[in-house]
Amino acid sequence: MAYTLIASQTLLNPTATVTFSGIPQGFKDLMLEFNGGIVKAANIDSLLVQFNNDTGSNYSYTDLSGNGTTASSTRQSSATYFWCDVAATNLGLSSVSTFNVMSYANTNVYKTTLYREATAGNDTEARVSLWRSTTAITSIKLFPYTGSGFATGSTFKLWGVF
Amino acid sequence: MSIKSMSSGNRSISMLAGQTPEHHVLIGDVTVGAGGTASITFSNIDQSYQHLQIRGIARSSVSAESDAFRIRLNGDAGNNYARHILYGNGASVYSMAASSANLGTASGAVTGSTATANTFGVFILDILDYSSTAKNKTLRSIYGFDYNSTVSEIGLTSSLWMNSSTAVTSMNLFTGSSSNIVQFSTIQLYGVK
Amino acid sequence: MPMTLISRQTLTGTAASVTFNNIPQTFQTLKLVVSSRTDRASQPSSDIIIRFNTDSSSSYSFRRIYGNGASTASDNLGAGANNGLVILTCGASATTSTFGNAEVTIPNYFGSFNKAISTDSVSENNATTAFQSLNAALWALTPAISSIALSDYNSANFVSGSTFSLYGIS
Repeated sequence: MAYTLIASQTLLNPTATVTFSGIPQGFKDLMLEFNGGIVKAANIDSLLVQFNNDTGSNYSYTDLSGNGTTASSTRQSSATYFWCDVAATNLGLSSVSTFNVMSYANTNVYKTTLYREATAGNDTEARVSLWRSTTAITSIKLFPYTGSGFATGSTFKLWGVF
Repeated sequence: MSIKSMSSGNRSISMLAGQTPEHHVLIGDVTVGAGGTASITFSNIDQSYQHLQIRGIARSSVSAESDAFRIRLNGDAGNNYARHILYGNGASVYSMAASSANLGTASGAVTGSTATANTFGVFILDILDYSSTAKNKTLRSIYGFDYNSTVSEIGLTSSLWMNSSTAVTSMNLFTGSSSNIVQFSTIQLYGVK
Repeated sequence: MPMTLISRQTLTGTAASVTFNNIPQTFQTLKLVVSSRTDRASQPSSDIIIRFNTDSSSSYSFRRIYGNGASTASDNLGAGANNGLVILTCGASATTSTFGNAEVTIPNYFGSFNKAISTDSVSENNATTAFQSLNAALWALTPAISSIALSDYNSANFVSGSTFSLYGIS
């Protein structure tokens, strides 16, 4: 079976951090879907991602973005996380982000994530990120950039793709 | 496995694989061994699905930071393809086209041999209605590579194979430079009902 | 629990719209995979709109980035639109027998919150002009989605051979 739901969480309260740990190693890729928002008195905040509790400067990303007016592309190197835009309180639970973590268990390669973000009130993006580690991914931590937490009703779903 | 949360009261569901029929099925799986390979081929593709999806990571042996990653269907090397791409390189955004080409695009770009070691380009390619004998075949691929430098790429590509009367029964994937696909590159083919 | 085909519609003639009704409420996420073409005259592309639960009130918005084979752009319909513009596909002047390729993702369609939608879509054409689009849309109403309707923004028809596949992911 190609898609297997590993774990899912629906927030009944605002939550500062969501972590998937003990991720099974038997799949080819992981697919993580976020739908919701962040608690912050603003339109937009960011969702940050780290693997295996690595807080070092081992992440980088490149994006392709459209904000409804302008098409743009940016990149960041040697970061301590990778991230995407997410709706904050003013825009409600209106973001969907899908992360495809390719070959997450492969110990011969650095880990590349291909992901999409869609927030109709702000922008839509495609992004690629690199985690410079050959270690298999066993945990994924998600947390807001400046907001106090993910909003009630936000969902996080992790699938294994075999 | 566990899901940790900083707040109590959240509802979590942890599930293992069920027994209901699956409509997204792995039907081919290649991992490149030592020495690399000139191409990856899936042949005798099962015709009982509606769509195909190819997911992969790849790196080229080309002496450059990146390389295109192409696809040829049913061995057709004629000028029967068109290609289009929308991509960003971390600084600018581009849209390009090629018509009456002899190759389609599996991924706009993968890493080459001068990219940081252990980095691979990634892509997810979808071919809809691949077994149709009344439609040309349209391919869609989202792809990207990043190796923590000033060279990187993220984009969405499309390809057209102008052969409406023939189902897709095989595919060859190879680099645009004709260099090898290196060890640890891995590509999976899925049938989608 | 896997990815399941809920329903597929394959057109054998033209159709002004395609609708999926009575969508089961038992999945986590819906995926709509579309291989379509319209008879929009003299145009290589068409914009496809989505409506949920027959709602045509001013409850939709969208934002996208796209390329046309030569240049790039980003546009939007802000809050207050009566449809969600989600897919760029092939119109009547695209290469014969050529159809677009699109995937629409709708998470938590059963939930009691606004519905966010993410779409990747392409058209094709053996010429410079063809479109690749990344799209975000929103249905700012809270009912569970029980029906999905697709139609052409410019009132063209879908043509024979177009296929629309609705999947549920558990």
